[in-house]
Amino acid sequence: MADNKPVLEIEDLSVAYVTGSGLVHAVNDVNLKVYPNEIVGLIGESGSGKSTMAYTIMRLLKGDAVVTKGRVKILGQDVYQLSKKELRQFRWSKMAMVFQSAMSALNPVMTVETQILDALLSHRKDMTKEQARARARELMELVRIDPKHLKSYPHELSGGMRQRVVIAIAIALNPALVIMDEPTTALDVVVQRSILDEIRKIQQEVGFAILFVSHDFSLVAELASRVAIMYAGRIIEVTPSDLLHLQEKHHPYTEGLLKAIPELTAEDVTIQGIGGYPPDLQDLPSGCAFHPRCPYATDICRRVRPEKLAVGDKLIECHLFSEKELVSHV
Amino acid sequence: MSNATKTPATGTALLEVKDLVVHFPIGQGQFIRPVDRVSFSIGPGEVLSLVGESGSGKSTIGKALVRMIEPAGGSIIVGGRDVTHIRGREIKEYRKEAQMVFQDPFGSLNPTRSIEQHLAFPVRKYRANKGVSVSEQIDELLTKVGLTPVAETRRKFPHELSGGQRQRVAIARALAVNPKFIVADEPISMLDVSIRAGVLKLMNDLRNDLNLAFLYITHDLASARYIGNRIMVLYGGKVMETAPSAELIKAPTHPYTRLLLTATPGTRHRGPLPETSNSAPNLLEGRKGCPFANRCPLVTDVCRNEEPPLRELSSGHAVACHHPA
Repeated sequence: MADNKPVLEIEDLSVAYVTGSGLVHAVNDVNLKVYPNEIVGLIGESGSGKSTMAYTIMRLLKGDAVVTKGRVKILGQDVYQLSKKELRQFRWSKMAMVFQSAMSALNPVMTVETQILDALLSHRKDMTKEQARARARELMELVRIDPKHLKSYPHELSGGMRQRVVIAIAIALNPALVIMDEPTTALDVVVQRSILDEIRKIQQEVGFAILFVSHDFSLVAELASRVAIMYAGRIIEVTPSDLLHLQEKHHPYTEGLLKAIPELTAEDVTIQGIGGYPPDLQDLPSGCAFHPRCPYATDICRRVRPEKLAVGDKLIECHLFSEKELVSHV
Repeated sequence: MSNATKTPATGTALLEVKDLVVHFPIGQGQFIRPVDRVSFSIGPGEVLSLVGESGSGKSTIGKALVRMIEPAGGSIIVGGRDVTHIRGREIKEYRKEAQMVFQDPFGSLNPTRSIEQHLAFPVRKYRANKGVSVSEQIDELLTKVGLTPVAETRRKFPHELSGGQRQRVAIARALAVNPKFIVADEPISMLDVSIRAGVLKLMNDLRNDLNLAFLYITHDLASARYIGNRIMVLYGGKVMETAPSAELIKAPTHPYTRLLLTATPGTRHRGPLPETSNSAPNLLEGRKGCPFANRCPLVTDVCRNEEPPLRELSSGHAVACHHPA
């Protein structure tokens, strides 16, 4: 396998929603690559553009959202150059998605088996029904559900089992990339943990790349090898996940998020929120979008948008780091 | 039953819950018990964190405490008064002492009312502070919860506020009657990470400044530990373990508490998750044994047949388990 050829390449991507009162800039100038068999975390708060990103990659944006700039390539193929028919074949066999709400992702009036067969047979014209049935059993075993539940309807399964079924359907056609949009948010911690363990195991067994979208820092840090952090539609930092702690220097927003999470096992628990509130995407602040909330903001932050800088193994979009090279460390 | 959950020696309990039972009919003369003989107490200015997964009965306990539902058994004593079975006007009176903050700040405010109207209603109705004008009281409440500039906030409607700001309005509204304690049911779980800390800190400040007691309901152990003097772990409507917060995290003894800790992301001492089924506990009235038995890695015959009593291990640390670690 050519390991250095990315599965997913996002180049200068901007997405906006057209509304009655103007454009809402949900994703701005995003660049991101995901390599084969890699798990990349995409972290952001509500309104940061992380879900819009996920939908853009899948080319699932609804009518009022437009890609204003840039490209999305999967296995070298520009997703937006495909015809409708090609896209239908491409989607799910090359890229798949696991949605947050398993209950609404599954059809309540179809059995689990019908839904898995549906995904298989509509993409693999050469597959016989028997082969598809066998594959469905195999998939159920892979996500550790008793194959007897193939005959079950979604409402007969627990939340965790439903999410496993959704994962089974996502990997049914051996896609190169699976986007997971908060797949465990609605689940209890123990179930969440067991599903994450399983995702990791299946990913190693089967081999595919994952873009894991979440708002939960500690969870993503455990699962992903690299983490991209979004704020106001921009990726403001990309960092190896093992550097995601306060002993390392980070973007002030990342630092703020890290300080905002109470640590479970620390001796002394102190937390500190980030002041202010997320920005209005219709009227983004000038310069760096984070400057109104940033404790280190200076004049230049208000005027000029910072460039991405390589800081060790991290990529950070902040003036603090360009200055730090001139001024001695604080 | 041991009184393991008694308050620290700071004074008499503000709230005493003893053998609380809530049951719901499920037809054919059968009942389920989402809350099964739960006892605890909360002192003035104390925060008790109630931790458990969905269906563990934590929200039901919260609702029973503010008497949104009537318990089927046991007693709730608040400030020396038995409120277990009060009705009508008495409940209204009781709401001056006990208030609730809900999980969803989008559903708990009326979209057609301004923030001022939201707060004016309880202030007028309950006249908690006689002699101070309604308007002044609203200003004071908004300042208390950090929603300044006050004049601007007053005019706003819920849709103009972010989730964190709305939750602050919900807290201000609860404070309007000068309550002695507040049941906060997952108040931060729908908020963004950067906003959560602010709301948690606000609750902490209110506890310190107003000597307000909280029952903090959550599924997140980290925030439970941050804000709670004590943590009580619930499973299948029963108390599994209760201890001072730091101790519960450092030295958990119940297999369920240990499972929760292993499963929580960001913990340093992580082991593999033990093989357990994810089946839901049996909540039927008249069940036998420990509710956690069908998921417990340490289960033996006695667990399936005999319900373990809540036993005190050390001062303030109690566990209901036949095989505690």
